[in-house]
Amino acid sequence: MKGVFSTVVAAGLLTCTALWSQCTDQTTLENITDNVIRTGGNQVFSFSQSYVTGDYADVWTVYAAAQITLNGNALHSGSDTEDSGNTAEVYWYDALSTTGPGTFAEADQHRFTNPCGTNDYYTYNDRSLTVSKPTLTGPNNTTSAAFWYLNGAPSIDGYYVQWGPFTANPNWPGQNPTVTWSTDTPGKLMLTVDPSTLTATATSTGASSNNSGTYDIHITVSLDGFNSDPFPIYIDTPYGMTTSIAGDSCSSISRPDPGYVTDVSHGIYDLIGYTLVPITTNESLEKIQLINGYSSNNSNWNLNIAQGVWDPGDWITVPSKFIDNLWACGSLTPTPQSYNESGTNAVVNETQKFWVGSSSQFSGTCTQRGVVTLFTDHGAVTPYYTPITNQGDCAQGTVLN
Amino acid sequence: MLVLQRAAGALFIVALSASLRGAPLQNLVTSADAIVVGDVQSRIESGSNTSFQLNVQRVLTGSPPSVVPISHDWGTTGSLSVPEAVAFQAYGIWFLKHNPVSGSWDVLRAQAKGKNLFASLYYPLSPAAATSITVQGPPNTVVEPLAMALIQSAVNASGSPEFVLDALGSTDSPAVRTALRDLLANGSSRSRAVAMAALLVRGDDGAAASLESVWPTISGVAEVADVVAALRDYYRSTTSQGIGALIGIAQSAAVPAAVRQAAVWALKSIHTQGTLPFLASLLDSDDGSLRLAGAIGIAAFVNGCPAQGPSNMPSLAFLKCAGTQWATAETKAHFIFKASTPADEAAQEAFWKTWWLANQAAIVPH
Repeated sequence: MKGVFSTVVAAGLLTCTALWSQCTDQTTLENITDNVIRTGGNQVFSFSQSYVTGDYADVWTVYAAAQITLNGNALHSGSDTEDSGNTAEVYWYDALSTTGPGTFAEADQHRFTNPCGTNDYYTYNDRSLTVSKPTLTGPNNTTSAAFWYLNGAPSIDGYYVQWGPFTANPNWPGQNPTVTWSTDTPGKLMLTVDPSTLTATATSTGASSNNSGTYDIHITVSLDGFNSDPFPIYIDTPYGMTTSIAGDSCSSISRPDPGYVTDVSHGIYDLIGYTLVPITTNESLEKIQLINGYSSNNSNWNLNIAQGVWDPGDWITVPSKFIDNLWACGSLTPTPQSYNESGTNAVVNETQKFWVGSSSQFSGTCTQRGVVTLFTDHGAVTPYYTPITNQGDCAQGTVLN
Repeated sequence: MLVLQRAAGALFIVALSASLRGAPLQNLVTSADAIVVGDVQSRIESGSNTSFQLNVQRVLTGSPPSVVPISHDWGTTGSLSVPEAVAFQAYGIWFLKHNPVSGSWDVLRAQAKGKNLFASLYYPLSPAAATSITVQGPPNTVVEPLAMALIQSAVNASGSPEFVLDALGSTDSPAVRTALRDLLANGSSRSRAVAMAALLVRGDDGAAASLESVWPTISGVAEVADVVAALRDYYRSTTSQGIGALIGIAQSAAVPAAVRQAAVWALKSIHTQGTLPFLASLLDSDDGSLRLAGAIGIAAFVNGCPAQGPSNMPSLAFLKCAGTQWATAETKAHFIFKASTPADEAAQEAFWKTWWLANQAAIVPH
C-alpha cells in the first residue's frame, strides 16, 4: 500500500540462506515515504525515505534516492544508504521566492537488502506539486491601474486620487495565509488593507516620475516572501498649461467703450501631454499693486480683484479650456484705451498661480505661475512659468512681481 | 467708480445657478422655465448683482410676461462694489427660471466664457436667425432649432463665433451637421474655423478630409486653435475614411507642423489596427517625436489599451489595458505611453520596430 506519505511495499517471512538464519518475520515491513508538499507560503518540502520496521529491522540495509525537477529542469538530486535500522533519506526545503513557481516533480528510488539475500528495488515518479504565484488584480480584473494625484487635494469631478479595490489571491487552495501588501514607491502611494477580504485601496501621495515612459509604481502581495508579479500603476497629475491671449472690444462683454478686453485662455495638460477635460481650478493672486508711477492719488483702478474659481461648468468644453477675462472698460483714471497688445503703459500687476483640482486657494496642483499686468490698453500674462516641476515654487508668499 | 474686474469670481452663486453655469444648450433647454428672444437696453451692475428689464420679443417656450424684470446674483467679490448703470443693448436668446414662490424671474447663465460678465447671460443672435427659429412640440424639441439659429448667427457674427462651439456641446443631428457644413462653406473665416472644429468634435470624416483644402481660408484667425485642438483631442474616428484623412493631414505640406502633429497625436490615440502601418512607418522617421508616437501607438494596440479621448480622460481608462492575442510579458515590459529619457525611448522604439517587422503580416494581412 502506498499512501500519500508512506508506502509499505513488502512484508513477509523470508528464509535466510547465508550467515543469518532469519532476516524477517511477520512484523517486518519495508517502508517508503516520498512526496513534494508545500509547507509554507514560501516553502516547498520534497523528500524520499526508505526504512524497515519490525523485528530484524537492524539487519537491513536501506537506500533512498530522489531527483527533483521544477518545470522539467533538474533542481535537486541525491541519495542515501543506511543500515542498523536507520532511515535512508534525502530531502530539500526550497524557498519559492528563490525557485519561482511551477510544477515540482519527484522521481525516487528505493532499495531494501538484507544478508539473507533480499534485494528489493522500487521506483516511483508520481509525486508532483504545482505552485502558482499569488496574484493581484485591480477592479474589474484589470492588470494595470492609473489614477490621479492632486497635490493632496481629494478626488474631484471624476478625477480620483484613490483606486481599488485591488484583490489578492494567494493561489494556495485550502489555506488561509497571511498576505503582506507592499509598494516599491511608498513615497507616492499609500495602501489601506482589509485583511479579511484580501483587498486593499491605493491612495496617491505623489505623482509618477516625469522621466518615466510607463507605469513606474508597483504594488505587490507576498506570502512570507513569495511575491506576486508587481502590479503596475501610473499616478498621473495635472502638469502644465497652455495659455493664449486674444484681444477684443468692450462690446464683446456687453459693456460700453472706451476700454479693452483681453481673453486669456488656459488649457491644462497632464504628465503624458493629454488635455484635461473640465476640472475645478482656482487661482491665487498675490501682491496686487499699482505700478509705473500710479498710486491711489492718480488712479482709481481697483485692486480688490476677484480671485477666480472655475468649476467644470465654467469651462468651455470644446475645446477644453477656461477663460480668464482681463478687462478695463468705462470712465477710469487712467483712461483705458482700445485693445493694443503692444502698449506699454502698465497700471497694475500681480502674481498669479493656478491650482488644479480644488476650489480652495493654494490647494490642488499648481500648474502655472506668472505675472498678470493690466496696461491701459491690454492685459498680459508675462512672464509665466509652466510646467511646475517643483510645487514648492508656488508656495504662498513666493511672488514674481 | 470702479469698473476694473477680473472675471471668474471666487464665490458660488446659489446651488441651482452654480450647477448650470456654462451649461451647453441641451442642459439650458432642460432647465429653463421659459426661453425667449429679447433685448436689454441697460442694466444696473454691481459686484454681486445685475438687474435689468428684459423686453421679450418672441417666446419660444414657457409663458413669461412681455417685460421681465430680472435681478441676477452672480456672487462675485469683484470690484464693482458700487452699483453703476450700464447702457448697452444686448439682443439674443435668454433662458429664464421662474420662482413660483416669489413669482420672480431669473436668468440662467448661458455661456461659460466670462463667468461674471453680463455677456455670459445670453447667446447673441442675429434678428434674421431669431425669426427663423421654428418651435413645434414640447420644449425639448427646441434644442435643434436653437442650435440651427446659433449656427446661422455665426455666419455673420461681428465678434468671435466661438461661443457656438461650446453652446452646441454634444448636440448632433443630420440637420445640425448640414448647418455646420453650410457654415464651413459660406461663413466668415472665423465662422468656418468654428464650424470645422465643431464637425471634427462630432467625428465628421468629411470635414477631416477637407481640412487640408479649407486650411488656407481659416489659417489666419484665432479660432484656428480650436480646430487644432479638436483634431488633436476630440477627433477619434475609426473609419477607414477618417484614418485616411488623418494620415493625409499628417503627411501634408499644405498645413503647418502643429496641424500635422495634431493628426499624428490623434492617430496615436486611436491606435486601431488600421492605424498601425502608418504608426509603424513613423518608427523610421528622423523626428524623435514621430518615432515616439509610433512606438506609443503600436504598444497601446498590442497591449489592448482603449483609445484615448475626452470621455475617458478623468478615469484614465486608456491606461487600464486588457491585453490582446499579441500581448506577451515582453510587450508589456516594453509598454511606453509617454516621453521618457532618450535612451529609454530609443530602446522602446527599437523593440517595437523589431516587433512590427516580425508581426505585421499577421496583423495586417496582404
